[in-house]
Amino acid sequence: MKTTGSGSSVSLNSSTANHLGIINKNNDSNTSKLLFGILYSLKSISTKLIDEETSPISNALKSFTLGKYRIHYLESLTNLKFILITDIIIDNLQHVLWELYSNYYIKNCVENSLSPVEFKQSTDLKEHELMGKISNYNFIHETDHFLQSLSVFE
Amino acid sequence: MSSYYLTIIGTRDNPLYEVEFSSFKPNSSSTSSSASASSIPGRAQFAPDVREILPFIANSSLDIIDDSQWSTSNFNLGRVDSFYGLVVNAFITQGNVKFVLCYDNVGSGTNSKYDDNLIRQFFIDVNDLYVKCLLNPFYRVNDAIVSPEFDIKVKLLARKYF
Amino acid sequence: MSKSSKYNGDDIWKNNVEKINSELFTLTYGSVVAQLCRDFNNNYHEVNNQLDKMGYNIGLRLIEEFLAKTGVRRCQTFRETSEIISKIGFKIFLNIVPTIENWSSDNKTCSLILPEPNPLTEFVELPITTDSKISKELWYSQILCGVLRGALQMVQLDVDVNFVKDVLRGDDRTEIRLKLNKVLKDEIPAGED
Repeated sequence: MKTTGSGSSVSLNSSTANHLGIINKNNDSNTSKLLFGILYSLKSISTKLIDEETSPISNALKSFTLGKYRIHYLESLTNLKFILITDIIIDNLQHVLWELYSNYYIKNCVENSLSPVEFKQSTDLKEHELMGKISNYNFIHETDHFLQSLSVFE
Repeated sequence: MSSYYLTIIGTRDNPLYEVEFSSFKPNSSSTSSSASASSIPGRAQFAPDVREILPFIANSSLDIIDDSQWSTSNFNLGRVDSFYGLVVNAFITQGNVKFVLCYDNVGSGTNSKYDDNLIRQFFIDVNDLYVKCLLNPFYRVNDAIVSPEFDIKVKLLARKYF
Repeated sequence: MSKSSKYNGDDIWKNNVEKINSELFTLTYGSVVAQLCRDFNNNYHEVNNQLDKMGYNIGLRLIEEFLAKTGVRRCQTFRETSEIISKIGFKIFLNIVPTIENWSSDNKTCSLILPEPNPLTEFVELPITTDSKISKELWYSQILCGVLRGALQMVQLDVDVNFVKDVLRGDDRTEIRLKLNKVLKDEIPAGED
């Protein structure tokens, strides 16, 4: 899973079943950046396909499928992106992503005054400074626990 | 028509607020000055020499107040002192701030029980106002109370009770 | 009708918001302001500044909670945004609903009129001093401006927020002016192009 404000991410590798996944491993890898680029492009296509002002239904990007994997995507109005990569048999995980945002992220990051919520990769931040990523233990732990408890997780 | 002098005294025996007023109710029994133009309702009619020493009278009762606060569990200490026809009633707040009311006992000596009860009510209401004042973040304990709103409200209470 | 009617501020307020004693809230905020005034030696411009900054940091967080609780979707016009701010935002966090008026012709500037009593200023009276500096310079509830600015910035709205009137100062009403500068683009972060 990857949450990104514009640079932060938590990656949980779902194949490592019984212990915590690897955190922030792929954050700076080129694959992540490519993934971001794809999502960004898909998103701009989706907004161009409809006239948002008249359409009652949002045309937001929710997921897309590759031969082997499905990429689940949720973006909050604050541009926080939640991305979950699963096997192709997993269908819709929007509610899971929403739960991650509205419950786990809010509870552990937003309401924790000492945990940063601005993930700007601003120039004043030095490289790899703590501020740019979620390193909050409770968030990582609970998120992991939550994902493992899902019926789709096997 | 009785005249009243109310003063609020802080925890360091410093005055925070004082006001003089008289009974607003027309009093038929006081014949001496009833017709004179000087008896504007609400204006205190202490004799000038008494008026000067009112703060001293109030202050001199502080020792008695300090002593008598331990003899009762009430905040209202009732009548604590008298001085040449002036009666002194007192009330002490939870925060050790004292309200002292001095008044001349003209024409109402017959029903002092009733008076004491009124004064008790009056003190309780003034205490409410004082607590409101304390809740103002810009007010610090033992600052003089200069808010015009407080002043007006105390005077309204005086009018209501006396 | 308007977008805010789809989301019910009353329901969220009743069922989905933790409530605290309003006196505790008012007094806490009051002590913060009074302490700032002392710390900055009655430099009220600086106090306003500090309150605004605190509010901004609150806004950055509050918006996430707001979005998660309400599920509000993106607004199409600034008018819609202002409705949401008033009828849902203020409602669920402060249980008041400011009125919105004074729209500029380009629909980018409006006023929020806070109803009395303002929950931040209950019990508060500005101290009486020989000069009227405090009542000319201090915007007691400035934190609200910061909150709005921070929260709106997180949803890509660059907005100027400031007080123009305050009942505490003796004005006839408490008025916050909102001015939309621009809608920020969803940009590709630097270094990821």
